[in-house]
Amino acid sequence: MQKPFLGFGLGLRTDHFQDVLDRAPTVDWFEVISENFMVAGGKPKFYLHAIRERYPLVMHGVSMSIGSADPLNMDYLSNLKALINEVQPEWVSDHLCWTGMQKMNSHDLLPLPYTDDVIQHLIERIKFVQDYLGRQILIENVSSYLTFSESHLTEWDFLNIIAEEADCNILLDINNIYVSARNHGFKAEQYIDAMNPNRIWQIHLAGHSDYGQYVIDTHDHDISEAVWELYQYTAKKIGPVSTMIERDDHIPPLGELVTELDKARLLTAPLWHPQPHLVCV
Amino acid sequence: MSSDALAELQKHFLAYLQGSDQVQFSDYILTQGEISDEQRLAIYRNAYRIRLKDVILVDHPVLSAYIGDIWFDKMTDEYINIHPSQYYSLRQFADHLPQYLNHHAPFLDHPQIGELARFERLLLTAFDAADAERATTEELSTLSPTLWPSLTLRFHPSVQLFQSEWNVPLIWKAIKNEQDPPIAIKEKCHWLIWRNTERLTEFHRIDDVSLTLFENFNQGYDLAYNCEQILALMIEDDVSSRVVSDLLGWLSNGLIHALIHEQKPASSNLLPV
Ligand SMILES: [Fe+2]
Repeated sequence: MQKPFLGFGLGLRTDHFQDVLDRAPTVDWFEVISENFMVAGGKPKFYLHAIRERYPLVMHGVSMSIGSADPLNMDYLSNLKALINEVQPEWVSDHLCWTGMQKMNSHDLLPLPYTDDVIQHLIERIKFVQDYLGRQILIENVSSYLTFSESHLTEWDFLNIIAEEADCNILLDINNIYVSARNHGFKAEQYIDAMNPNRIWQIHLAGHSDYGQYVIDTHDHDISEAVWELYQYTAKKIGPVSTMIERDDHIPPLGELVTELDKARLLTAPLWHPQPHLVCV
Repeated sequence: MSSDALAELQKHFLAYLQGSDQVQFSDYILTQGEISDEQRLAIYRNAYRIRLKDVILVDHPVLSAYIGDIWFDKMTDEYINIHPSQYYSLRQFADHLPQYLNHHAPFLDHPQIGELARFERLLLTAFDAADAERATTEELSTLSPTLWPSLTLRFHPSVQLFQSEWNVPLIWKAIKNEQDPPIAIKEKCHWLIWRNTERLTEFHRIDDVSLTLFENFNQGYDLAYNCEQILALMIEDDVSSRVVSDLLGWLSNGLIHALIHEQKPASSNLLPV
């Protein structure tokens, strides 16, 4: 399937539900956190449907735990499938991580050892999920703070091999690449250079907290200059990709996020829609 | 790395997040740069606790304000240890909080605290319970009088009955309005909690008559049976006007999903014999 380009989106947050309806902001699409809408009814479902009538949506999950050693949670997958039916999203994504096992959920996006065995484990599971859902999914790179001694591959090789072999697409989080690059001492550009542009269907941008020695992916700040630069580098390298901003804490008024999103439009405009040269007569 | 080895690594990682130092988890990780292994691991351990504490704060803003920061930290730290999340959604994580508060010191000596948690969780249940149509007062007023005795009804899925032993809803209301809460006093009564047509959660106190009507209607008993039941609680002349007034109140506040007035086949199996 050809990679669709949705334009520029925002993560839909409770604080902005009513504003989105009242002000119809110039946002091309919204991303919703799937688990937040796995409830029976009430306000969450009301706004989900009302906003869906006005905007394209994509669904982003945090609990698939695709890298867990435990069997996949079929209860979760069946609820996810039901929500997909209800929302009819453009696509569905989750993370290259695990979140728990043996019934315990850490609700955190925990890192994996980058080994061949783990690659095989992920490929099988992603294929199963895609068959079950009857659609391709997108897998997102997470921020990480440690490397397992067992890892003998880079994260970008690990991710690329999985995407090719499982035939899934990639949600590339530019902030997560920046955060991990700082924490592990690799070059972020090297990561971007290694990625297969055809697989990258979506980009996440977000803010982080910089503690000097290390950086934490907090989603509670504006996007940093360094991440904007890396985004621009990526945009040049891989061409048009649906881009959105994730903000999860210290959430500013909707208008401020729309302005921040406009920066992504401005930065990519000359790269993705080159203007014809003006000719002086 | 075999699947057993992956399972073992993940088991040890979770144990580490939960505070166990039985396994030297840093043996699993590569020492890199200027950040120590311990610092790297601590980022995960802290994030795990902060996230879950935050869930409890968001689910229980009034309870958190009522008990104050020191007890909040004690409550959340212990709760996270005793009831690690077994759910894929954080929505259920604090489901056991009322039970925890009722059984652990110092909270168990202040039973209104556990009750306040139970009240806040019922508000959450009403908040995102299933949607359903609401019956209207007009449906009742246009109902043929011959159908009244056999009338039954179905409540909206958001409707919750809350039995309090303490003046917890008043404490909740004061804190919500940023006022000093009243002193906790024993006050056994009943409340109905529901989500109104504007999708806002409401609650109101009900007396013994309304409680009887609510419980009987909720179990499927018809109006005739209800009238008989409340005869014991009031004088006969007032019975029908009281039933009508409760029904109209519930209808106009959106508590009733449907009025059912077909002759019910075999409904008598609901009646006590
Ligand atoms: Fe992300």
